[in-house]
Amino acid sequence: MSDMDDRMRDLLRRKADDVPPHRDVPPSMLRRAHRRMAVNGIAVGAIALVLIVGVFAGFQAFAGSSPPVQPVGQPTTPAPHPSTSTHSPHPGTSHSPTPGSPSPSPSASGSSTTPARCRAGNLQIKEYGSNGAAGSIRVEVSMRNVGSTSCALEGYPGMLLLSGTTPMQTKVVRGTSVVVPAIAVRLVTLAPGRVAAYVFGYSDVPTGSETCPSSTALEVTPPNAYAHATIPFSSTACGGVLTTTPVFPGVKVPSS
Amino acid sequence: MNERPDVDTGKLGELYLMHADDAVRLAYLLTGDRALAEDLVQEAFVRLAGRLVHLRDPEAFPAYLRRTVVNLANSTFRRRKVERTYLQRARSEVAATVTRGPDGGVEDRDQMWQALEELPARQRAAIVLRYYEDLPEATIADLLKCRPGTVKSLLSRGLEGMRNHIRGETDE
Repeated sequence: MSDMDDRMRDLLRRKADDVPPHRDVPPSMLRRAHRRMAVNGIAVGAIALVLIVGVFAGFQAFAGSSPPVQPVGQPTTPAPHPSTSTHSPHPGTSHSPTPGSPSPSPSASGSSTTPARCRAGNLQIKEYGSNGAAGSIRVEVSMRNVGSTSCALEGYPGMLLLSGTTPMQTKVVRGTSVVVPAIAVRLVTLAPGRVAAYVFGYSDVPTGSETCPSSTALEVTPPNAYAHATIPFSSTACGGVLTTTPVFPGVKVPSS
Repeated sequence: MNERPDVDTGKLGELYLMHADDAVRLAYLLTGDRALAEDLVQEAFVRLAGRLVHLRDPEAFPAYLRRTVVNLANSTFRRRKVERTYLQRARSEVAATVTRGPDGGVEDRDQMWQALEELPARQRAAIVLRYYEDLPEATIADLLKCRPGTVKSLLSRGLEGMRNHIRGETDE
C-alpha cells in the first residue's frame, strides 16, 4: 500500500514537471480579466444603486406614512420660497425671538386630525450628522417626539448661534446651497418616538470683509414654536448665515 | 490594442507569474491535458480577477486559485463526460495494442498515468489532491464538496481501480 503511495507521489511529481514554467502573462487573459472587472464594477454599482433606492423608498414610505393626507383645514400654505429672518444679537434674550416658520395662522377651525404643534419641550433636538465639502458645511438636525402624544411640525426652524451664552449675529436663509437640497414645506406629523429632521448649511470661507466668528452652541426653535432648545454646536459660520431646509419626516435627507 | 497598465491587471499579472506554474500543474494532473490545463488556469485567473477581494489578500490567493481550478476541472468533466468516455474508449483500444509489445517497453510510469486517466473524475481529483498537493482529507472533502469519509472511499477505490487496470494490462 505504502509502495503504491510512493509510486503515486513519484508519478505525479514527474508528470507535473512536464509543465514548463510560465514566464509571461498571456495578454489575452489580462484583456479578459480587465473586461470582467469592468463588468463587475458596473454590476456592483447597479446593485448598490438598487439597494440605496430601495432602502430610501422603504424609509420614505415608512417615515412618511402617518401624515400624507392634508385635511381641508389647511390654511393658505406657507411660503415655500426663500426668505430670511434675522436674529439680532440681544444679550439676555433667552428666547429666540422669531418663531422659525411661515406661521400657518391656524384658524383653529375643524381640522381635528392635525395634532397640536410640537413644542421644544416635547422634542429631543440634536445634531445627527455633519459633513463638509470645499468650504461648505452641512449639518443635519433631528427632532424626536419624546412626548406622549402626536404633534405636528411644518415649515422652517429658527436658529440662533451662541458663543457661550452670548447670542451672535445669525441670519437664517430659507433656501438652498451646494450642500442644502431643495425640499418642499410639508406637514410632518410625529407620533410619539418618531423623528423628523432638517438640514442646514453654512460657509466657513469668508467672502469680502465678512467675518466667521466661532460659535459653541445653537438655539433651535421648532417651526411655529416660541421656545427653543440649545444644542452644542461649534462652527465658524461666515456672516452668521445659515441656509436651511424646512422640516421633513425621518432623518434621511430627501434628494431634491 | 495596448492595454492600459491598470493597477488591478498589473496585480493580476504579478499573481499569475507567481502561481501559474503550480496551478497549471495541478490542472494538468486533474485533466491529463496540457492545453486544457492552460485554459482552465487562465479562466480561473479571470474569474478571480472579477472578485477583487481575493486579489487584495495575497496569503489567501493560492487557496482560492486551487479551489477555482478544481471546480473548473470538475465542471469541464461534467460538460465533457460524453466526449470523454468516447475518447477513453478510443485511447484504451490504442493502448491495448501498444502494451501488447512483448519486451515490456511501456514504462511502469506511463502505465500508471494511463490508469489514472481512466479513473472517474472525482477519484482522480481525490488522488491528485492527496498525493500531489499533500492536502489533508478534510481539505479535500471541502474542495470536492463531500464528507471526509467519502474522500477516504474515493481514494481507496481510485487506487484499487488503478491497481486493477495495471494488473489487467500486464496480465494480458
